[in-house]
Amino acid sequence: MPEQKVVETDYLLLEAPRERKFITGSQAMAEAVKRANVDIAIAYPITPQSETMHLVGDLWAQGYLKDYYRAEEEYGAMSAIAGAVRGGARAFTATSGPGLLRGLEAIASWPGHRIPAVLGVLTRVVNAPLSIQPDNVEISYLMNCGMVVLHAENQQDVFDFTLASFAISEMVDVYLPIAVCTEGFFVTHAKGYVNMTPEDMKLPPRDPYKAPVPPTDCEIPPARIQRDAPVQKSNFMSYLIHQVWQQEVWSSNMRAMKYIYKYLNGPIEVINPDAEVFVAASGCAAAQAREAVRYAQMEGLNVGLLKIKSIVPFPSKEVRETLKNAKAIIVPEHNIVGWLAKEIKANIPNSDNVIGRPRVYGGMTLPVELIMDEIYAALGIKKDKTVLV
Amino acid sequence: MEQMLELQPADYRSDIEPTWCPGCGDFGVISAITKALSELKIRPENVVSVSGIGCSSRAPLFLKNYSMHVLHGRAIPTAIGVKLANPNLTVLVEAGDGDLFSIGSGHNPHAARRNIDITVLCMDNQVYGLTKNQISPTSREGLYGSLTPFGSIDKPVNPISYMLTFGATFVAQTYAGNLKHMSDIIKQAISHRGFSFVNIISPCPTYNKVDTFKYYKDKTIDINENGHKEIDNLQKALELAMKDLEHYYSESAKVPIGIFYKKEEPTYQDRVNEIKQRYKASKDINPQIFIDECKVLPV
Repeated sequence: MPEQKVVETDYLLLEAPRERKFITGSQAMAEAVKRANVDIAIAYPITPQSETMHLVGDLWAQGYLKDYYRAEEEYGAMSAIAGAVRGGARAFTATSGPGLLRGLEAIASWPGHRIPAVLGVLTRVVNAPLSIQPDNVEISYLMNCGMVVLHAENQQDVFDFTLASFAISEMVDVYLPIAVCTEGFFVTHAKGYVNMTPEDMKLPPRDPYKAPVPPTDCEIPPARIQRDAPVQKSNFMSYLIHQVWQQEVWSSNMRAMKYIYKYLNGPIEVINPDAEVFVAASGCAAAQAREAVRYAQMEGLNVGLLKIKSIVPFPSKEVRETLKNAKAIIVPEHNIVGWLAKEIKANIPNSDNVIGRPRVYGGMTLPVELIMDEIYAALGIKKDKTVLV
Repeated sequence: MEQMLELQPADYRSDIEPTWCPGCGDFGVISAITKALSELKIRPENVVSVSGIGCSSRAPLFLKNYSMHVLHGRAIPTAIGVKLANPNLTVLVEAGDGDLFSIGSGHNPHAARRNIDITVLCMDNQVYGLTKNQISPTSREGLYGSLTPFGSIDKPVNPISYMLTFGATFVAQTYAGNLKHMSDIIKQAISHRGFSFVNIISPCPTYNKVDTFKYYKDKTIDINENGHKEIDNLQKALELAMKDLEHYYSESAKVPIGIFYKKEEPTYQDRVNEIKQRYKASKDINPQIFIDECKVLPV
């Protein structure tokens, strides 16, 4: 067994020294799992696959995890996660694209069951036509489950978000599953610099009795609710129980925000807060948006970046405040439906200013030029043709 | 040491009154479960019942032990998760034929072949009752259902041969009309180290007008009292299992009840512990040693 010292959560996440490594997004996720004192990993090798769960398998062989169970398909894997977490373990799994949709049956019931698990979502195209390329339309399906959804821009984010998620998900006033999403290939298969905490330090173990809903107590919810199901009652009781329970789930979700401030430096990142035009993005698109903003500033244009790290809970107040004077808000995305543009529109008063472009999908890359075109158009700058930057 | 009170079957019942139809076989099943748990002296706090969706899947609500009422078909994988996280618990899956052999049928083979130490109790009424009369995977040919008004045209699944084929190490059948037999079989299933499966014929008086208590009254035959003693012989178990559904086609055929197969084999957890002993977890672990050790037979 590798020697690892348990340190305080706050120390590990906020103060521990960091070492810089050049690794892939999948490696970054596994490195976070290594430091998170995880009891069990459960996964199914879904196609399309990333290396993440293979690397977590190595962690088991190396003694960092107590158990690794290979499930037979996604809803089996996600159901087993629920069982293991309710049984008292700290559990991790990851999936992608069609696997996420297959597992969604069980995932959607995790928040109601109060399952504090961490789920890696390494986004890929959802069929059809068949493709295995990166495309993040699947995040839109996760947004209404009640779980916390974070969207990582790069390998560093993947490491930070994953490690912090283990701590945040088990906070007594949150106690919900957290999805750490990032783009397949662009982040999972590509390397980037990651500042990591020391390998020989880990989070404190999970204490399943430190919970708003003890995992194994039949007299208090959720065990009581699961045993004495509302469907057994009158319709009125059924409505009422479901209503208060779901209100509590969504309130708990909102309460995750203070920990996102504490451990992830807030739900948004802003460059040039007084900008005339904003590029608002999440995940991998934020990296391209960052580049576009840099080029625009080099050209002397008053353009800013709004990177959104937390998709659920959505930082409504922060987004409204940041965009209140923006003449135009450009939202580049890696999917066809534009879920982020819709979410921003729903949260700001001047929603006409939101430009839901450029969108690339099916796994296409998002060239900075496409974002620049939108910036020029928003500022009324005429260009004969796309300027190569 | 704290003195433990001996618990009677009634002490395992929750304060919730069952909502099953009068005359449902499942009343008998929970009586048998509570009798078995009480006789085995397993405390309710050490038992977890996991169920999916269906009439039978309400069983955990009426029991005092811990439980998870999960999605349709997903009782087995959830139970696996509980067992992996806490191997000291007695984990029961209380489900129906629809849950276990239609929507959740893909989970059985893998729990069985891995010999995960859980007990699966299938309350088989050969019909979907909660959704008000549709044919189930174990329905006999010709049985009326609201989606099959001309009767079922499908061949029924044979739950016994199904579970035997996939490597379950304990496979038995019992009948809700015989409390003593049922509780005895459930007791043995829970005591069995490894994956145990019990098919409990539990008639539905509301929707299945063919497979009734009256029909089964003189139909069952105890195979263990009638010559099947070699219960660790898979071949013989399979031969007997193939006769399980004969009564659907021949009036003179009997319904075999009793233990078809029982064999002690290392459980999933035993195997995990064994490899953990054999290969000490190490940072220097090299996959090549596993590749070299995996013997490939010459072609």
